[in-house]
Amino acid sequence: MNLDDILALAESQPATALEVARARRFARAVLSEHDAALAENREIIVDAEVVDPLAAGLDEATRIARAAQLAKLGTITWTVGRGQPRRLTDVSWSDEMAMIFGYAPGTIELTSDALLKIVHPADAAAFRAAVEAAWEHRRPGEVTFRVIRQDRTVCYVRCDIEVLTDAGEPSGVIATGEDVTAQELARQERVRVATRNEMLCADRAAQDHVTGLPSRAWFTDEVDRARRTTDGALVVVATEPAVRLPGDFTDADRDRLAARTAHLLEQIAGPGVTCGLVGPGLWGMLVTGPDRPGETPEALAERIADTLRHHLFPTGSKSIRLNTWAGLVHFGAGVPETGFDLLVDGEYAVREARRSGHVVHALDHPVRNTERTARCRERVLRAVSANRFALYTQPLLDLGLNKVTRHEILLRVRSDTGEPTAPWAFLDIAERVGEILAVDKWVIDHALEAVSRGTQTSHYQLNVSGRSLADPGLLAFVHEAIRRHEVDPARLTFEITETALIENHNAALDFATGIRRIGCHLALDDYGTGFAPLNYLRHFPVDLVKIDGTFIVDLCRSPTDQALVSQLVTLCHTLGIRVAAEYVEDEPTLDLLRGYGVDFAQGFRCGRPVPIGASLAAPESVELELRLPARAGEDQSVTRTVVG
Amino acid sequence: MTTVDGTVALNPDPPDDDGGAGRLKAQHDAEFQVFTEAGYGTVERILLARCRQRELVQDALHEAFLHARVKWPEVRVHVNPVGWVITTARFKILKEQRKLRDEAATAPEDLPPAPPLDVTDAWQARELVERWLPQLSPRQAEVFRMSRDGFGDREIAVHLGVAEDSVVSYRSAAIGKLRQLAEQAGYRSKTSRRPGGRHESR
Repeated sequence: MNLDDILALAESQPATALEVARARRFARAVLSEHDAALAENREIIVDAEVVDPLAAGLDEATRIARAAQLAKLGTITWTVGRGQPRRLTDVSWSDEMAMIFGYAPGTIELTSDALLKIVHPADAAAFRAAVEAAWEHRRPGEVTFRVIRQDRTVCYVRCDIEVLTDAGEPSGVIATGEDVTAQELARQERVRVATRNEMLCADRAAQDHVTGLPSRAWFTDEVDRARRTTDGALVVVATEPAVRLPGDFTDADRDRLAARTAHLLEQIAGPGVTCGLVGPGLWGMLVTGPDRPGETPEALAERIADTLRHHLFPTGSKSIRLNTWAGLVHFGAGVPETGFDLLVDGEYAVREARRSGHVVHALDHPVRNTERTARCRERVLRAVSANRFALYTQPLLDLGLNKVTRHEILLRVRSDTGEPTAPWAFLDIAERVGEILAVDKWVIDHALEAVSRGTQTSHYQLNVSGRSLADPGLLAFVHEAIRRHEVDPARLTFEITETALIENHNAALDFATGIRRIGCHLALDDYGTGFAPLNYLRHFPVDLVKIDGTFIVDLCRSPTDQALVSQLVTLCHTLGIRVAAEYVEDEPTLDLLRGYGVDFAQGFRCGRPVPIGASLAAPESVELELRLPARAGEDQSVTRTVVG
Repeated sequence: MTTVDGTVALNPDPPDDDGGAGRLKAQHDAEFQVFTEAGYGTVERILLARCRQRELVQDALHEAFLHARVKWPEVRVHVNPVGWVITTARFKILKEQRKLRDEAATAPEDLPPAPPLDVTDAWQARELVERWLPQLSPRQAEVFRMSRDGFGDREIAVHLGVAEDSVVSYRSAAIGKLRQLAEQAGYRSKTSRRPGGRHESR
């Protein structure tokens, strides 16, 4: 069956009985209205003339112009000049069209050039081409264009363009049109709204990439929201492998274990409990609201710890068990303690459980403020003084050279079992209780020492919290450490992490200016999600912007991230700032970043973090495929390069 | 095909004797009734080809036919009374549409995607064509519709206020676009009764 069959079938039957009845009813209704008007002596005014349009003997141009006038449409007519049958020389417009173009009828002598000057310069070529194409191919067309009216306002006009015929010969072109500004704006708005909806995506920073659980920041907010309106309990569960992990236990294995644990936790907790990842091996559960489970938070905590302890997690060659403890803190509706305070109390409770050898430790109410702060401070400072840290390095690939030329020095915090863990939960606390400076100083001193022991062939990037920048002694400390360890300052970049607000802007600017005077470079870390506004790019002497990983992880699939990243690169390069991308996990992402002109890539695709001693002793060898962006009409040149 | 032309014009006026006015009106009423019943469907179909707002079409139809009744003594001898009604109703629609647009430039109503149709009878075939027409330009849709309803190119050109040569172009463009829509919906082969796939018609 094709179109012809469908059309034939559609017209195969005369009107149905229903349609006939409808037409009959309609005719009667019209007649009775007519009769009613006659009876009331009411005149029905008919504005349409009853003339035979064919009998009037009008030429085509006049006939179309007259029909347009009746429909309140304007016309522009081009006609061939005398003796020039192939060229449109004369042009005129109807009064209606003159008014659409913003001119009083008869006030302007229309010529082709004058007309093209009234059309918006950006649309003049398209307008002219549409008219010429219609004339050339003797085929009707249409065009929408902008007009600059006499009062300098702009309106949109849409025209149907037709070729006129006189005695079988093409004699001119007529454009019939109207002001479509309102429709055009409405159309543009529809397109915009559709684009916005398509580009709008979920906040990726709210979710942990590995476990899929809400992130610490999101969960903290959620606890804070709950405590303002309702009572409840916060349960914090700590898990750690019951046995020493095998030597071949990779980061990927670790991620898989975390993801499995998260999945199991959510299953045990059930739908009425909000779960979150609050630290490495630390899980938060918010028990509150009308959907909370019937059991007490203590019973829930016990059940979770019990189930996790008895669960066997398959990891590669053998299965492992997790030692599990739970701490919990009850809170009343409207307690003054913030979500962060309650989280710290939950973490304290779970440490108490572990220390005392109980499975669950419960606090009936939040800890006193002074006590909490003192305890947090002490914990941070003790970690510093006891060197409970380890330094790792992760390579940055220079995308221009396709070679690792830089390393970021990363902090790891040793857990109670001595296991190096990601520092973000620890740093969150250190920043909030104002003890991050001690940590930063420890990192700077130990990192520079390690660098000085190596060959100093790479460039090293160190993190400094935005909070520490307020300290007036930091710059002197750095300067002194660089001298003491005899490190080339030109090989150092200080990354300002944007997890906390820069506390004192003037001090931060002093540090930034001073550190560059020494010869070091300055970078903004986690750019795009932190606290650094666009404003900083204007007056902060930044050499490098590191785009936050949440913009990169889904880059290949997300047109939103593609737009943000590519435009940010252009912006930074215009301002003389280089750009690095974090969380680069696969080759297609690397190709995209290279295409955008990103300078450095960091992530599992370019190398995982390794202990700093190992990396300085034996530089890693990463094999990367160099794919240059193809120029038009050229094959992609593929070269293999070994990077070491 | 429901072509209606000025056949009533061939009927002679009734003799003008005593009480002739009443009889004349009765005859005109009867003529008008026949004319309207025969032409209503055609006019409605053609108006719908441009305007999807049924209420607007209904109002325009009512007014145009009423005016036709008022002017029946002239319309009945018009060379193409149905064409006159179409032209009259069409101008009313254009006027109304402009008024509506000026009041609020709203998005064209997003019709929910219609379920795929298995075309087995005339009604379904008509329904299918009706779904495709809004995807043509208004001029293409009107020209196509009038041409299927038996109007000649010159008549179409006059009633729509377009050039005669354009009618040919608009029609072939309309058929090209419809064929494309039909093929997208899986109607391509000459033999099979059923579409190749149950695709949407858009």
